[in-house]
Amino acid sequence: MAFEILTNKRKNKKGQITIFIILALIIVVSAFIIYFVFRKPVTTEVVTEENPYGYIRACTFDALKNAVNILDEQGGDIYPKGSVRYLGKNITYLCYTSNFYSPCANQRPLLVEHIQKQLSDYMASELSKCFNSLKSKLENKYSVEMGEMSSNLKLKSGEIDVEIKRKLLIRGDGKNQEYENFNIVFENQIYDLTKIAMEIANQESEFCSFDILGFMITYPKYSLNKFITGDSDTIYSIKDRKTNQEFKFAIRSCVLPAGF
Amino acid sequence: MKRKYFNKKASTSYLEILILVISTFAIAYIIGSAIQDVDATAVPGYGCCEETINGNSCQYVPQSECNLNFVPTECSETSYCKKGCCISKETGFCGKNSAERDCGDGIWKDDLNCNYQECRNICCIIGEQGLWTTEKNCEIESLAKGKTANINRNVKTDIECTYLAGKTDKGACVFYSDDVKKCVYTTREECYSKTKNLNAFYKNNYCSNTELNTTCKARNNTGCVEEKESVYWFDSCGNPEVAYQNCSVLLGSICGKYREGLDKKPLTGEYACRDLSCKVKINGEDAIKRNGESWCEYDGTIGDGKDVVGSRHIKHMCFMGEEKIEPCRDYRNDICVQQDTEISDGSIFSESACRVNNWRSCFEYNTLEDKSERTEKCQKNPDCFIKKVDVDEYFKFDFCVPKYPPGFDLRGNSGLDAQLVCGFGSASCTYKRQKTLFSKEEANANCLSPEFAEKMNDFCVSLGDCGAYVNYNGDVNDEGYKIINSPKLSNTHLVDLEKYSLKNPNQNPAEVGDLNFTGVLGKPENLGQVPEEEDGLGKFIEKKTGQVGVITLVNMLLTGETASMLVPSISEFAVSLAPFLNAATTMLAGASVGVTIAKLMGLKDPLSISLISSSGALSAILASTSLGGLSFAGWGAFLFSALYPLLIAAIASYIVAQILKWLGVGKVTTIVVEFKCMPWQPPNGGENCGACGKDEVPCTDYRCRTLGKTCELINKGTENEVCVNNPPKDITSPNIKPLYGIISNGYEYYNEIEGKDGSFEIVNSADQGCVDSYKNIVFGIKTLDSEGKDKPAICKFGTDPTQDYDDMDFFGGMNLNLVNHTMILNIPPPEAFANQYNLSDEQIRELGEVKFYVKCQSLSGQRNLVPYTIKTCVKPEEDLTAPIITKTVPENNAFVKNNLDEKSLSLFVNEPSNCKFSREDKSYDEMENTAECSTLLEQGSINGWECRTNLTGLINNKKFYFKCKDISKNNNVMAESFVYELSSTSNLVINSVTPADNSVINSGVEPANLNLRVITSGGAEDGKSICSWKGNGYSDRFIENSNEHSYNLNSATRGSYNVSFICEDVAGNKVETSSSFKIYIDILGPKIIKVFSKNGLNVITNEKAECRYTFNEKTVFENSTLMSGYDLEHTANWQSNTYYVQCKDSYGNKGDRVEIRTYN
Repeated sequence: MAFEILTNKRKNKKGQITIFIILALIIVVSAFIIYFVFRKPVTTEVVTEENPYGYIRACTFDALKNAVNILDEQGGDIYPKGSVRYLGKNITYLCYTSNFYSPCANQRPLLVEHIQKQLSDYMASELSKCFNSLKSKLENKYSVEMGEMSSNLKLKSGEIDVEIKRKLLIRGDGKNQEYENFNIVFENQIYDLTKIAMEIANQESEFCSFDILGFMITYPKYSLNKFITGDSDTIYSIKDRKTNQEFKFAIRSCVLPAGF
Repeated sequence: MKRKYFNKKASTSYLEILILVISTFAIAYIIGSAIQDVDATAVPGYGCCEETINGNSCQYVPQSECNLNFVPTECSETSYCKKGCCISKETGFCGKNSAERDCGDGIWKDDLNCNYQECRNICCIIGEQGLWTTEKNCEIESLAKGKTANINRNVKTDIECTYLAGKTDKGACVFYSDDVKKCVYTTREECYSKTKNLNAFYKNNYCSNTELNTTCKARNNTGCVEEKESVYWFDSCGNPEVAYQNCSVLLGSICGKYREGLDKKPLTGEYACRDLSCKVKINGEDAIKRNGESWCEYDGTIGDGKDVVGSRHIKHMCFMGEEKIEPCRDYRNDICVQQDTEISDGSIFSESACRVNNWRSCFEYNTLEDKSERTEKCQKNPDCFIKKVDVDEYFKFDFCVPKYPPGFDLRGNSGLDAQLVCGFGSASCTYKRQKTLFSKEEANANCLSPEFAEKMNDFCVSLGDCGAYVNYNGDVNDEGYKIINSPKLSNTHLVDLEKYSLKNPNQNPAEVGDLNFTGVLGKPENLGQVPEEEDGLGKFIEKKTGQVGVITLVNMLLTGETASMLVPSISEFAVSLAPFLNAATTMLAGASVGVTIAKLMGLKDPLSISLISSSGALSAILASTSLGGLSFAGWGAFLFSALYPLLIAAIASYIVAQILKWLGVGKVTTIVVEFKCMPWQPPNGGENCGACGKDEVPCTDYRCRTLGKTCELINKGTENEVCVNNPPKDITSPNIKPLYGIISNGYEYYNEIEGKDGSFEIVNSADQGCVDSYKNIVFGIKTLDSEGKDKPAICKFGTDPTQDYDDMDFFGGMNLNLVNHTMILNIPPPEAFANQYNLSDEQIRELGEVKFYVKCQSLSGQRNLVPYTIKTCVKPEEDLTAPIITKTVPENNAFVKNNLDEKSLSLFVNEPSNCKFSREDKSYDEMENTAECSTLLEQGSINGWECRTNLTGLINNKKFYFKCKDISKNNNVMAESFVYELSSTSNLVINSVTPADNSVINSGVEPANLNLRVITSGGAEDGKSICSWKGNGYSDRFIENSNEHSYNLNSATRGSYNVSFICEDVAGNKVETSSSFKIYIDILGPKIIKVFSKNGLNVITNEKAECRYTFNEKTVFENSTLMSGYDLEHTANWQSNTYYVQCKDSYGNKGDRVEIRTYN
């Protein structure tokens, strides 16, 4: 009897284990099926020198992203002058006065154009590097001819458009490939953030004030911060809540001295 | 006993005490006359700089800071740095207050606030997006997006625009793709763009509508829609349908995935209205704040002159579930104001704002001669209040003080500002006792009680970081005051001051204030009354981007009103509007400073804004004046003391204090008690530096320095900013030396003995002998460390070498940590004491020897144990010189108001004297009138010895002859009369004002630019005067002190105005006039009211206009073809086509574009 009970117990235990193994297999196979069969197809761009457009696009993206990061952190200047040091960064004054009791003078009334130019100047050398890098990679297998380059960079709402015109002739493997226009659209909020910065600078120069809460309530897409330092510089930051892109700049307006 | 109190030693002490006290104060006439040389309109060495060495554009700076193009004028006088409006051709944006040189390829125009049509924001609806932008930018955005923009010119605010954009017609767009019937829920325009078929769009229909026969099934799932707040149903095709759950950011929720425990579980799906409120701690207590609410928090007690040293007001906000902070300006230059309002659902909604603390005006009011005017203005200013000090029957006064006292920076020249402001709190009280045979009468007995110090300290503290008080960390320090001849503040009282540094849960927030007060047309909607014919337009709410009062929006949603229906009152906006008055209040602050300092220094004209704004008023004055032939650099110490005549009686008090010790109270009938109010001092050392930034308030220089004398904020501008104890390496007590280079001409330092018990003498350069009597001799000491380097220290002096440092008086009257310490000696001749103290000849002879002792304390608290000795002697000659009248108030040849017959006069004499005057030049004895003169040595003031009288009969004759006779043994009399004459003036006249009475001003933009102008003539100086205006409850000053006054109002709204203009010149001649005018604003474009055919296409407009047409819908107005006719009727050639006609009026307002289809 005892033996039978023991044997039955052993049999039950083995059965349990079997069931668990089967269940595990079912789960793994299901996961496999779900992941590989039902997922949306992902298109990947081939970013190699075999795809010059993709290569230039990726290279431009990297350079643009880097440049925009710098501009975002430094108030729209790659090399700030007329700036204040805050948390280890030099942040450009968009509106500034060196005196007490007076509103600031707008330092960047054409801020969008200024940032456009900063980016264009920065990208001019970066784009050259991109093409040179592409050429040196292609020259392992192909003969490459490159013409003169011209580029045009434009800030738009939600994007940065880069138009590059450069004749690229690739010969090899019995075929010729010709490229000329490299039009790249880079999703970026810098235009919209800049527009808000200009509005802030305008209000600071006219009213010596800007109410960030009222603005955020009206435009909840953005999160603003305003900090007045002990030296009476105001550091603004405007963040797009969806993309987390943040533009910082400084204002020095209507400074009151300590005392008279 | 008598011998003990009048022996040689005692007499010497009396003399030393008297000399030292008299010598503490600068003599105003020297400083005043030097300072009056300052050109109050310009700052020497300053000018307009096109680009500074720091890279900033168009700044008014010293030449040394300029890198490119320096011109010694204001920037407004240059062509390239004059401020205006820069309009971008590429984006259509407008940059206000921009210099032409920064405008590049843009269009630069004169109006610095961009009140132009091109800069006016309109509602530009592109697709579902509402853009509040300029018309040009609207065109650009439209082109960039490839969509047509709908411009709505009736919309007045950005919030209204966003609201309208959300109401864009949407519906089901049905189309075929690869033979499959599809449907998307979109706008008409998007649908047309996709299908090129107008019939594909079914307005107000969802794709799941069975009649459309699509495959989309209704209410398949819930989710969020981009840029929308609510939770929506989605059909099976992924199109949004009706809202499943209404969320609102303003009411505290937004669509998001459900979070257990945080959100209310939805009945269906995974999406819910996420709660956006903030769980916060206010004064240590838990609270819930709504999204959009803002509130104030403070370091301890605020208001009633009680803000603690180092404190800062902080604005807190709740936004999207996150608490943010926005610290107001440091040094309490800003205060945080809060308004709690009950909203429609019965709950309380808090709104707060940082606004300028208008404390400077409080001091300006105290310079007004008319006390009732002072009281009225003080009470009207929400940042000031009348402080009553009532100690005894004959010692009580009122003073207008700040409600929220300002903070000070005690280092460098800024320390002078602190001395200046705190000095207002110094005063002296004279106790008198008179014994008769049967009784004893006393006056001001309470001045000898502890009450005097307590009340005076309370007054002192209300002026700023002054007196004995506490910092935000709870550290009490009593080095900010000095009291003579009365008990000091008790320890109990000092400890009790700590309570003000504790957070008070019942603390009321700072007052918003009455907008009317600030006196500038900031954002008042109802300044003008809307003319009847314009009813229907209604008033408009806040026009600036993003600046609608949050509470208004909340109420709007709760009551279901729409933006266009709102007509809020000013009071609702008080908090949100208050910051918009910052620019005006800032300018007002500057103007107040100019008036206050000018009056204190006896200047004719207020200091100009450019002088004050360049580097602060005191610094500018110090840099530009000279005193006794020597540079004022380093002599700032004198400045404050020149400004406080209240210190007059201190001399007597000090003497009595010492004499009391010898004689006892019973023998003295007059005691002058003195309270000196000085800047608050941080604790010695820096053991509390680490407390800075530990609370939520960021650490700054100001907060750091108030924690300890050696606390310093290091690594500024980096991520590692921290307040640390940074004591000087040298921990020894300061070494003292003469301040070579700073001593009056004709005198020198002599016989310097170095070392801890060192000394030096002040001697006459001619013979190294004694100095002259009654002569202002400037001298100083320098404090150094053991290596000979500069060492800041606070120095004190006394007459007893064994006196403790704490009991001594401040050297030069300053309690600041300085390296160079300066003082003035003015010693009466020995015989002057003989008359007053009944001394023997031997004692008189010995009175000539002067010796006093100096001890100093370093930042870390190290003090000299052995005093440093300064010696001098006064020439023991007989007084053979007649007195000299050194100063008159008003000054000689001052202008007197037209038809004024009587005026009081104060004149100051360089030695105790009696003075008489007459209408004719006569001998002293023959003069008929006697002035009331102070003749006791201890009554000498900072200006000398004062005589007062009333001059009458001024209408007929303004010339007087004065002679004075001193009270020395020789009774010297002035040989020549002092001729005092006042200058007569005519009436001040206002010749013209602009706008003229009954005029109408037309403008095409709102707000409009309104230029107020006044031309004056007559008066004291050909019309030169200071003018102000007031109208409809608002007022402000014209900046110029001349005969032409101009004021630009750049935010005048439409309506009727009644403005008064008041001008006053330096003599007090006043004139007033008023002007009533209307501002009519036309911001509507012309409407086409009739279209007909007659020799072409004809249109009639409702106002004079320029009309243009095009056959291409996308062509902009400027590129369209001009129609003939400019009045009301316009004609174009007839063609069978679709005309797009638009008209523009003379202000540039464009009407709606009208589509006209013509047929043959």
